[in-house]
Amino acid sequence: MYGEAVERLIREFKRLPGIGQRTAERLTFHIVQGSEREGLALADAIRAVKEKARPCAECFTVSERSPCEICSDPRRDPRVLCVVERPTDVLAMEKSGGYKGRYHVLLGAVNLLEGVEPHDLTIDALAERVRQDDRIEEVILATNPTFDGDATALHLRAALEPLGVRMTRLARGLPAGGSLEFASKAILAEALEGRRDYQERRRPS
Amino acid sequence: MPILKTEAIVLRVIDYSETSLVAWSLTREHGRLHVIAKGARRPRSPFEGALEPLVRGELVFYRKKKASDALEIAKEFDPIDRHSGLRSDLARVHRGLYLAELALELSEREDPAPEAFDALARGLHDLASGPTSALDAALVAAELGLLAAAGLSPLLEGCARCTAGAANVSGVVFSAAAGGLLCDRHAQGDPAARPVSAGTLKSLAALQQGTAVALRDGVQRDLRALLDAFVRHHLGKSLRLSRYLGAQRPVRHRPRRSPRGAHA
Ligand SMILES: [Zn+2]
Ligand SMILES: [Zn+2]
Repeated sequence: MYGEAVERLIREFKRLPGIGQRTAERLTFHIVQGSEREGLALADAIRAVKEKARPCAECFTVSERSPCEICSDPRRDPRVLCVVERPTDVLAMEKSGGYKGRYHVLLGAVNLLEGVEPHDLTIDALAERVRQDDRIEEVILATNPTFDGDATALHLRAALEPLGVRMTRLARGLPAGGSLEFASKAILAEALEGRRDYQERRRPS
Repeated sequence: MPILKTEAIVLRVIDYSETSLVAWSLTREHGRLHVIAKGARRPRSPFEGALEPLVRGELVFYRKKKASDALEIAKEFDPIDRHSGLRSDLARVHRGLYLAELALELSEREDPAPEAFDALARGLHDLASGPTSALDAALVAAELGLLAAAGLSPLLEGCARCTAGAANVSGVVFSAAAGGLLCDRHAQGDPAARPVSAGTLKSLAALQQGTAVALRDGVQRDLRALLDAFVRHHLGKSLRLSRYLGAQRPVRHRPRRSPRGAHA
């Protein structure tokens, strides 16, 4: 009813995650009514990203070069590998500023009920990478603290266990700066399950 | 909009938008219940960390009196049992998800399901806290419970097609298509008929009656094949998780290029 070009853009927006009919229409009419420069800048940006950005051949994060900036940076510690679900998780870890090792991006999480199986992710490539690169001493399983993230960590453990590499999982529980009173039951339960010894460490004299 | 409260076991969670989730759960009173949990994906939401598959909890929701396929609006979800033991190994995760998938297939919205709820609740509890050796028996017991609640119990007394007994010259025969054991005469013309060992039949009957049994490897495999065929026949398809119930995916035991610590 709005014409073929408009309908087509609505359809394309609707294919994006989290966008329904109403949002797709709103975005489309924003572009129809906006300036030509603004609309074409968006089209150009999409074209450029599709032409230049690709997964890094080593870690599968999104980058304009392969190997990516992190994989080709000699100052990154080659002994530690942090496995995350998505490229946005790499960004989050980098913002924390506390991590100096390298990454491996799975490109999702296992969700068998929805049909996402282990071989749909980059788990085999990770196992091959760990097998080939004997500098890697520790693999940090930094999948999300969700049911799918936990299940994915179990699949990773099964794939990496035979390789004899040390595996760790990110700690979980109470947010720093929070209080017990306002923590949810689920988070308190997890914090309790993940409690650690608190004895004073005695140095050998 | 009335506010309702019910015990629910979460079967499936779908990312709905940047901040919201849709959860499908099984309840005693309302059968399968579909709720939207607005803001559940935000860090400080009232659902924080609780609205996840296989968690049993108390759900508070608003009932919308509009289209029957509309989503109810979840207000709170207070976990009663998170079944965190389920997340400790893949055998438990996969068996728990298999039960969730079966419950999804067998349940209907707004169709009360007290027996199915109880079978699922007991199954998840046993899978989360039972010993590894008892996982398959717990799975089959819960599976039979869910099937029975849907009126789909395998018929194990006499022939499923006539009044004859089922112990006959060719041994005992089970047919997924007939829904149970068959006499000699009816076994003849049934392409789905398969011989079933006395041990498998005994375990199946015991588990159907709610008796705990230990399953030997061979019996466990036979039972699995029998129930897979039975479920496939009644649902018209295999469950996604059925492929994950056997031994874990074989891992290639190729060593690393050089032994750890051996290279200088
Ligand atoms: Zn890289
Ligand atoms: Zn008969």
